[in-house]
Amino acid sequence: MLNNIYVPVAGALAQERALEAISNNLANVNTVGFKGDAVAFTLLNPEPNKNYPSAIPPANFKEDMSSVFPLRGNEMNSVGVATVERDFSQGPAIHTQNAHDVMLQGDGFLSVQTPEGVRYTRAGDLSLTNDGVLSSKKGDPIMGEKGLVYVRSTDFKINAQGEIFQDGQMVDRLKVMTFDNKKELEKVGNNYYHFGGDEKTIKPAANCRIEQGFLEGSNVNAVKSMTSMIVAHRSYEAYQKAVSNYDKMMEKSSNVIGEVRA
Amino acid sequence: MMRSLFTAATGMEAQQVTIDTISNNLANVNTTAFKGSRANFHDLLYQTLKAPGQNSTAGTVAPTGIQIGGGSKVSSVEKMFTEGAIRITNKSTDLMIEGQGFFRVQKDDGSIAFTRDGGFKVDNTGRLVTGEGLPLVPEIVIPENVTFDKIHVGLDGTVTVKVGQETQEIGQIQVANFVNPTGLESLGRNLYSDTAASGPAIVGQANTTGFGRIGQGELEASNVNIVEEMVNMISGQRAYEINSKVIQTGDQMLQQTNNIR
Repeated sequence: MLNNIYVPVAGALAQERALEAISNNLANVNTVGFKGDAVAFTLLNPEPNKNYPSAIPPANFKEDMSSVFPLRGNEMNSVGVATVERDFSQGPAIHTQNAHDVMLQGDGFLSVQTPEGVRYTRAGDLSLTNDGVLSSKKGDPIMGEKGLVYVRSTDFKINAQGEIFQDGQMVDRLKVMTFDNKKELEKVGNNYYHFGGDEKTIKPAANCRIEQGFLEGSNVNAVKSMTSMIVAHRSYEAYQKAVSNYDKMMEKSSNVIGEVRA
Repeated sequence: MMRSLFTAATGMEAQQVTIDTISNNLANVNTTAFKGSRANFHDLLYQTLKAPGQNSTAGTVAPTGIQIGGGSKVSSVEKMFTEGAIRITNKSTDLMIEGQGFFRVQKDDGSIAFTRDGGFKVDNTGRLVTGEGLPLVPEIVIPENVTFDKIHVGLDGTVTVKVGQETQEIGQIQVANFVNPTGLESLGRNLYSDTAASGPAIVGQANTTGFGRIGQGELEASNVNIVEEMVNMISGQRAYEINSKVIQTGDQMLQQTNNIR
């Protein structure tokens, strides 16, 4: 059997993963504060098989055989998914005029107190609970520097530093944090991120402005995603063609080479 | 089967809710005191194939992980309680709450509902009632033989009538407010009822802190902004379309797989 038939299969599977990431991006093209993902590929098994005999050129062959057949045996590299990289670039500003909406402009995350522990979010579509606690759409309290943030209805103001005012009095300040290594943020759904890294690297965000009455849209670029989807689709098709050609080759080896002619 | 098909389907479902919400907003673009809604989304759970920060080999930490998302979902459809524009009607029983608050009315079953639609009428017993005939709480009864032009409502909700040369106070319209108005349940017919999310009604006097003032001879227009809704509709429709394209691509890929042999 031709072992190399698995190489295009690995490629096709990797492209399927890429399409899955793209489809999640596009499903969230209107999700507030959403950050798109991009699949990065890597070489798998780049080690050649040491025992594989090198091609021996015929005596009268002048060329170095290795330039004609640079690959030997299962030296062929296959591809796999290395990482899913997150694009943390700023999403577009959407003007809503709603006092409950805040946009984080720059590097920072709101802290949310969930039953599972602190989670971080860029989604500024906030709400109030029935006792006046500022919360996420899921109902988890948004943390201020003094703890829970109590405000009254729609007449509170939040300034660029995240300070919350009710009747001209400062009530609290939003706890906006950032991380040395944002790659350690894990998406957990509900627009939340979980930080699994060293807690000492969580620090107050210095370069983050808060804009009340705005929302940050999804940073998924529909045009770019469509292009990536075409690339994934056509690469997948090419890999399928390769599989199909291997199949034809094997068909030849079993039916043509072994053919008994009268 | 290919996960992308289902992921894209969640995206289409979510956008369908956007369009449903927008169509209701646009249908109520001329409804008195109507408050537009907005659909909010969040991302679904992720399948973590490799957690970020995991050791790839001893001593080496993988800088990023592999997480494949499951799509999006509607997290809430939220009423936007921004104030609508003032429409002057010059009818003495048309009232508008300028600022925060709701009128309290009594439903047929005796329970209290809340509304910002102040287009009141006078019923056969002289009570101020909504267009549906639900009386204000507390009841305001206009004495007989008082014409509409003799009714006066003050900024604080005090209702006075002029009988002959005499000015007579007949009651005060109270205003209710909530800790979280977006948590109110819409009952239709411009009515809302309180829920565990909104908190109980806080009843107070109009034109005091936290309560709006009463404007007479004016109505609150719908707060739906047509331009904004149209833009949202375009973006919702295109997002729907793009998700359907993902399904199409996934389908074609599966078709190619089936055609290998």
